[in-house]
Amino acid sequence: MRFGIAGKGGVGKTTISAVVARTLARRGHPVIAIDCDSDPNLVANIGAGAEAADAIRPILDQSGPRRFVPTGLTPSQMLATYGLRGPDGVTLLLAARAERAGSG
Amino acid sequence: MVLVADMEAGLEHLSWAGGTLRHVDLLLVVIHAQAKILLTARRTVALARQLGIPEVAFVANRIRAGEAGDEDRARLTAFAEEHGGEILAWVPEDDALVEADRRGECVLDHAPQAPAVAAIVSLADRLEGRIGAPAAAPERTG
Repeated sequence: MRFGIAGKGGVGKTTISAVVARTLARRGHPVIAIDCDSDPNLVANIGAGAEAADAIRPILDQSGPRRFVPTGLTPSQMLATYGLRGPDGVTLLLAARAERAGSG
Repeated sequence: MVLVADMEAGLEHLSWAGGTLRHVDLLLVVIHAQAKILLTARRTVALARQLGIPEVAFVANRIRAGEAGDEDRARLTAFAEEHGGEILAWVPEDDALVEADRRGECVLDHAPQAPAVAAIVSLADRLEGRIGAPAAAPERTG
């Protein structure tokens, strides 16, 4: 089951995502929480800590002149490569992080 | 397996690159009783329907206390009815959320008993009804 949380900036998307993800994980569901914001804060907001928020590797590769999403990985390889274990066992993923000015 | 996708503010994920959000089973649109927020929500619902997202529902946030709250509920109920989506949770305005944000903590750690947390947990209950029981024995992680 895939849930998307949308709405205008500052409306409470991330807090709601974080509490829902952790609550479902506490009840024994395997949960993946993915931050799709280019100015991400779900990893910090879910309580994984500021270090984790800096350390998590975005799926969108922006290290070269052209940004790309890696292909050819199975879902489990994807989770092993990019996933970070957060509070209550939620697996955290980060879609992208705007890191270089003018790279968008 | 449950996937929770916290989307970027605004509409780009619905309108750009073929709609990166089109693969969700249920889109939750967070709303307050505020004109510009409802305008974004209106556009979000329209795009979600164009993308063929099977279900759209709402989470009503920052509901004020007292009579002002009655006003908020009436306005948001009318909005949800007009847009064919159910309101799955009413989250009250709650200083615990502001304080958790200020500290950079999850409100679940900072103020687990806060009314807003209870409301979001009730949202998780509603969502859990759509998932069914966990496939395997619960893994205790603390």
